[in-house]
Parts: sequence; structure tokens; C-alpha cells
Amino acid sequence: MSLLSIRDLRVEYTTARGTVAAIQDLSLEIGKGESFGLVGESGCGKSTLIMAIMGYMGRNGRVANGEILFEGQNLVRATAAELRRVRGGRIAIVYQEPATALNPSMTIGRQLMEVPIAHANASAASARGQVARVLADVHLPDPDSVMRRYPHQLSGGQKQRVVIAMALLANPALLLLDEPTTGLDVTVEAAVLDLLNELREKYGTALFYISHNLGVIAQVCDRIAVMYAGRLVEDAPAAEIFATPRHPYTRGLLGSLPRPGANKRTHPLVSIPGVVPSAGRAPTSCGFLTRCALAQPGLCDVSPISLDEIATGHLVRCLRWQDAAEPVDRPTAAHLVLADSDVVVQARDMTREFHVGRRRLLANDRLTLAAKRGHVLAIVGESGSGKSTFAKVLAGLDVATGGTLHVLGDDVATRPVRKRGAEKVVAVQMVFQNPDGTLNPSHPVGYPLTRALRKFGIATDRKTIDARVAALFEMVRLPPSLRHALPRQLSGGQKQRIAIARAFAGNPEILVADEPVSALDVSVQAAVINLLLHIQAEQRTTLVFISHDLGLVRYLADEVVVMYLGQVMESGPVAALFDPPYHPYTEALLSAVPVPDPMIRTARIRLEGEIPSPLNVTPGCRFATRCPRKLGPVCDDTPPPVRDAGHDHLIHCHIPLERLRQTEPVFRHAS
Amino acid sequence: MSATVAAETAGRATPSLWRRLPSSPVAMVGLGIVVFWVALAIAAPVLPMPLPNAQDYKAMGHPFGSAAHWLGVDPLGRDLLSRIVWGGRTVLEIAPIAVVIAYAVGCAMGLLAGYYKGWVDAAISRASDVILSFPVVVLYVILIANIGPSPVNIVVAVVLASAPGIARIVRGLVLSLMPQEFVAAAYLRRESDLFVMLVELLPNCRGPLITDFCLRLGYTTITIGTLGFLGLGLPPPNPDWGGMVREATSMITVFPHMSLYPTIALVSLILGFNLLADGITELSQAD
Repeated sequence: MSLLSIRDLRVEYTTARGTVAAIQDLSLEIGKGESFGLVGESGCGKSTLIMAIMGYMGRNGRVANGEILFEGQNLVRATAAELRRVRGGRIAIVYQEPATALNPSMTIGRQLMEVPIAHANASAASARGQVARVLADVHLPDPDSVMRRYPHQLSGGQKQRVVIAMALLANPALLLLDEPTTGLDVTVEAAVLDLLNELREKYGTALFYISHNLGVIAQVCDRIAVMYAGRLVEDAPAAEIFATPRHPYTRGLLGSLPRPGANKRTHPLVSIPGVVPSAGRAPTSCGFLTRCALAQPGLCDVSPISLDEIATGHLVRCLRWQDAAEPVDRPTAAHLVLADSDVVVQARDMTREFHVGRRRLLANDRLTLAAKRGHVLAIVGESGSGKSTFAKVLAGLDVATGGTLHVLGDDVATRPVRKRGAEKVVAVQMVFQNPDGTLNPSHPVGYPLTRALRKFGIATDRKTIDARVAALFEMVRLPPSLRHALPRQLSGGQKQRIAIARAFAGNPEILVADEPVSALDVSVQAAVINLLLHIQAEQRTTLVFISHDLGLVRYLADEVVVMYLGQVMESGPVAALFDPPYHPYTEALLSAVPVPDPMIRTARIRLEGEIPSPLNVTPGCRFATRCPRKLGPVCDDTPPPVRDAGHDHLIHCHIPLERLRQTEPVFRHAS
Repeated sequence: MSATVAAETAGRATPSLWRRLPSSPVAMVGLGIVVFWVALAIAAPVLPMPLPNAQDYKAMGHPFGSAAHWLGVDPLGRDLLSRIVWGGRTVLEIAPIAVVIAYAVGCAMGLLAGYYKGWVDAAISRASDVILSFPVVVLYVILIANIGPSPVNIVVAVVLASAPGIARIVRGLVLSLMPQEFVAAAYLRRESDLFVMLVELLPNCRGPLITDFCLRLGYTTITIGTLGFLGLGLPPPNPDWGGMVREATSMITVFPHMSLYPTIALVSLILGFNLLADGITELSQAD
């Protein structure tokens, strides 16, 4: 018998616009100890499903049809008292944001002890013992000291471990995970995913894992279902989803993720056009109709489509799944022949020092790097590595305290925007991370463009400005009529497009993009990246791309700089960087990348702990405290030598180049 | 492709606050009361009633409501209704002027403090703290007792007492807006400090300030009433609600209506401003 069995579920919400079905015709089974993944873009109804299972639908939501059987009990009809026993006891949940899942005014110990006390009537002493054991199981060092601490004294990754520990305390049969690693650093994410796999074996808990990222799901789940517009569109064993995806939507999601080995020249990303329709607005026949390349009038738009079993255990809701077997048609990218061009950005020993009380904090420590005209230079590292500080200094929003930074021939290291002169400011523009903060909520979205055109002296009369704004909107594939809309009327992807249009308004020579897509959904990410690369290649703009996502960097970069705690660890052309020899830090970052393909085996190199405070650095290698290949005291005491692996590939490490060359590659095809 | 992108437009336009006002009953009641008083104040010169300072000696013997004097007369035989309507005119002239000037000063202080931080902020914030540390009524009494009661001086006193509070709100909002990326984007367009303050920052302070503006009109009405009651309002014989209550308090047991009617007027106008503020808060939270 299966553990959780959902049959013909329909969830409705009453809104001002009438009744809206957020989930329709949904059936699924999760067996004991099974690990089940549910993917889809935001707005597909994934979280609604979790809320329906837990019975938290708010006043305006209700289960209109179907049943949710958990251990034989129908949760839809359960009384409040029955639900209370199940929630937190037999079914536990881990939410996306660990910071808000914990009560900031209670110590970790007291919060966790509530679970056994409430669910098992445990005594305080035995509860304390259980909590200490579970905290050790989630690999939190020194559980006793963690129990005495408050949530704000823990890092994001530690908090998520505490939340997982809390969920496991009641020894649940089913653990619901709603994007538990979104917002964590890649290395931390990899460690949390390892932990989930380990705990699943140890406790025999079934996992129901929700994510928009197929790469993450691939690490944890045996079976994967894809959800779109409130319905399941495909449900199959994990290996089959990746090897033979049958639904066009699944294929779209896979196509929008960079795979290992793929790059912008050979395998451009494919985005799914359009966005998820809001609940209840999808076509009733096939929900994906409006965005599907295979949609056939007279066939797909006639009547609702059923979820059919096309092979054992492989269900697809598509009439044309056989046609979807063709290899994904990838468009050819704008080809840019990389000539050996001149250097437009050159940092030499650039340093940005802050003072924290009496102590010195080196956000950038003797940074040396270069970007060539028309190339994409990616700067990678965990949060706290100083990459955003460099971006700010380059754009003139901050100044360096030492060294030089030459932009188009002039040293601008200590010259902020105000002291740079008009030409230099126009030449270096920036796209920011957060789509919500990037546009002024009080002004129409066309306003920053008109203003930039005026300030940069590109156009002065209204007619020319209007024409230029329209052209910029066309360039980022938005209808020019949108220029009068207010930012809150736009989706995140649209806001980022406007931000890109704004940055290109003055035809900059250098564009700094600070994590421009990390806040966007995967399918939208692909569209924005493609757009950015297209314009960049067309205008031969130098792109300085700041990211923590090595998968993405491998896809789009020409040169890469890996940073850790304000220093460069490794730099070189992208082709050289992703094969041995690696810097041990690069190797660890690579092995943490979630790979959306179960056929690729990734070496497991996990870093201990998290990036330390830049206030406590050793005179030697910054990475020595977490390095899995540390040689000995020499790493702590002596700054590492720069090893030249040829072709501008530089590795800052004490390990001799020969030994670095012998490293096993991180990615291997399982055959 | 642009056709599909056009379909992307996710959100819907929310109409401006004023157009949505009818959907809040609280705001509409408040607005109704305020509009009632404003209409009376504007129409005062043409309304068929005696002049506010005209004395009717015959009515003094029986000062209660009659056909000639609907609400009765005050101890000096002046028509109460007329004095209340004309008194409302004074309040509705002085209060908005005072609050608007207080806003100009307060916003400037708050913008400068939040934008430049450092010693500018320290100077403005400490000066504000000094003023805010006085109980408001004590502050008014000290000020008016020194500079003398007159409409201009009441405005000066209100500005001095309100601007620090407004500055504090604006400063907080500016501090939370400064790290936002649209401010950095403005620097990358080489915008001046003044432009960033007035065009990028100030419009985003609107929401909380509209509510505060209505509340502050109410407080200022209270202030004007209090000053009048303490004899620090408009010099006699000008009609002034606070002053009317003061003149009639000694007779409150015999002729309660003489102090009751101006009090009702005062309370209703304050209530009107407060309900309007509540309604606006409710509407802006529903966004």
C-alpha cells in the first residue's frame, strides 16, 4: 500500500473574480520511503498542493473534489484534532525560507524540544536528549552549543539544518520539502542535498520534494512529476524524465538548463516563450497550449487531455508525445568569433579595505584580472567572496583603497561615478540582481530610459527620444506600449529586460551584470541570458558577469575568475578551467553544481562549514581553513605561488602543477 | 515573439488612491465630515445668518435656540451658529497652511538627514530630538506666550512642533530606499543629489506621508482648539472654537449649549480627519 495517495484532486479558491481552480484532476502515489520530486515554474500550483496536503488552504480555499489518503486516512475529511496529530507528527514540512521558519525570540533548543513534548508527551529531559541526537544527525557541530543559541546566531545553511532536524524529530513517515535549498549558496545546497539523502536512508522517511530546479531534483528523487497550470503533465522515474522526456513542457524545462559540457556556442539554451498563466486562466483543453511549439489546432485545443500511461510507470498528458521524441531543436546562437582583442578592464592589485571597528576587512585583496573587448568575463565565488564589491568599484559605485583599475586606458580605481567624467560613466553600465529594486516603483518603466538618453546627450528632442526608447524596447523583445506601465505591473523577467534596456541605452562598452538572473525562474533565466548574450555579441560589449552558478558560467563565459574571500584563486579561459588541473576550491565548487542529468556522475567533494569571516584571515592561502587538499602548515603561513598552466590559466596554490594535473575530472559519464 | 511577451503582462493596474477611496466606508465617512465643514466655511459669507461679531441684546435674556438664532447665542449675545461656521473657517485656513509648511520643512530635513547621513544626520536628528522631547502642549504654550497670539504665530508654532516628527518619518523611509538598486542606477546616469532626493526618493515616501498628513491636520485642529481654550488662540473678538468654549465654561451648568456646540464642531472635524487617515491606511495596506 502506498503511503500517500492523492486521487482526482481539485482545489478551488474563491476570489473577487469568481471561483478559480488552482489544482485540477491531480492523482499521484508516494510509496513508503520513496523520494518523489515535483517540478514546475512558480505559479504552477506546487505549493498549493503542499498546502492542500497539510490542510492549510486559508479561508477562501477548499478541496472541491477528490481525496488525499495518507496511511489510509482521508485528510480531506479529517477533523481539526485528527489533522493536528498528523501534522508535525506523521507529516512534517520544511519551507523555503529557514530564517522565517524559526522563532527569533526562542533558543534553538527550546523550539526543538517542543516537538517531542507536544507529539509524544516526552519529559523535558528526554526531549533534550532527542534534540541533541537529531542535531548531531544533521551534522551540526557541537549540538549543545547550538541548542543554547538563537536563530540569528546561525548561518543560513545551519538554520536550514535546524529546520530539517525539527521536521525529523517526530520521526515522520513523510517529509514535505518546499524549495528547501533555494537561496542557499551552491556549496551549502550540495551539503543539504547530501544530508537529505543520508537521512532518508537512516530514518526511512519518504520525501516529497518541490523545486523549480530540475538539477536539484535530480540529486534527490527516484521519481519525478512535472506540474503545469495546476495539472500533472508528466510523471516518470527520474532516469526516464532526463533520458526520454515526453511532454513539451518537460523538454522546455530541460532545454532551459545549461548541462555540463554545454556552452553558448554549441548548445544555446532554449527558453519557453511566455509565462505561466495565472490560476484558472489556462486553456481548459491543454493548459500548455499557448506556449507549446507542437500545439496543433483542431487536435490539442478540442477537449481536456488525459494523463496516459505510455510506458510502464511513465505517464504523459499530451496527444503529441510521440512527436516530442525528436531531439530538442536548438537555435543557433549569435556567433562571435573571438579574436584576440584589446584589454578594456585591467585590475592590478586592486584592494578594497573596510574598517570594522578597529579591525581591517579586505573585501578585495590585491585583485588582478583583465577583461578583453567583446568577451564575457565571469567572476564566480560563494557569497562573501567579494565579487559584488569588485562590480561596484568597476561601475564607480564604490572606490578602491589600493592598487589600480584601468578602464579603457584610464585608472579609475579611486574615482567614483561623480569624478569619472561623462564618457567613462556612459562606457560602464550595470544590470543589478534584484528585479524588484531595479526600477523606481513611482515612475513608469520607460522613464529610466528616457532619462538616460537625455542625460547621456544621445537625444534631446521628444521625437528622437521616443524612437530610441521604442527601439530599446524592441531590442529586449518587449512591446514599446509597455513603457507607460508601472514596475509593479511587470513580471520579474520583464523588469530584468527593462534593466538590460536601460543599461544599453548609452551603448556602453562594458556591462557589469551582478547575478542578473539568480532571482528568476529557470525558464525565464534562459530567455534573459539569451537576450543578454545576443545584444552583447551584436554590439561587441564586454560583459563582466558576476555569478555563484558555475553551471551558468561554464555556459556563457569566455574567461573565468574564481574568487574566495576577496582573493583570486584561479583564472583562465573557460575551456581550461573546467578540466584538470583545478584549484581545489574550483574543484569543490564544480562538484557542488546540481547536474540535471542522472547519467552524469559527479565527484563528491564537500567543503567543511561555510565561508569564514573575512576578519579572521591567515597570512597564507585564504582557502586553507576549508581546503580538502591542504598540504600542511605551509598553506596557513605562506601566500600561495601562482602556477601557470599555460594559455593564461593561472592557479594560486601550493600544490605542484603536476599533482593538480593528475586530479580526477569532476564530471564523468556513467556508462 | 513580441506577441507572446505582450501576453506576459502579469499584474493589473491598480487605480490611484483617490479613485479607490469610495471602496472604503471609513474613508468616505471621514471625507464626508471634512467636506461638510469645508463647504460651510466657504459658504459662510453668503449664508443667511447674523455676522459672527454682531450682538443681539434681546436674545441675551433667553440665549437658547430660536428662529432667529438656531443654536442660540453666546454670553455676549453673538449668534452661536455663525460663530461656529466662521470659527471653522479660521481652523480650516490655519491648519492646512501650517501643515503644508511643516511638510515642506520636515521633508527637507528628513531627505537631507537620510541622504547625507554622517554629521548632517546627527545635527538634524539631535535638533529634532530636542524639540520632540517637549510635551507638545508645553511647547506651544511656551512659544505662543513668548511670540504672542496671532494666526502667523500659530502657524510658526505648528511648523516648529510638527516638522521634526515628519523629518523622522522621511529619514527612515529614505534610509530604507537608499540601498535599492534604482538609486544606484540613477548615479550611473550621473544624476545630481537634488534630483535623486526629489525625483527618485521623495515620491516613494508618498504612501506613509498621505496618512500622516491627514492625521496631522487632525492634531493641528486639536492644537488650535487647545490654544484657543488656553487664551492663546486668535485675539478676540475673532470667532475661534477653543476660545468659544473658554468664554462659556464659567456658565457650563446654566447654559451648557454654549460650550457644547463648539466642542461638537471641534470633535467632529478631528474625527473626520482621523477617519480619513484610517481609511487611507486600510486602502494602502490592501495593495
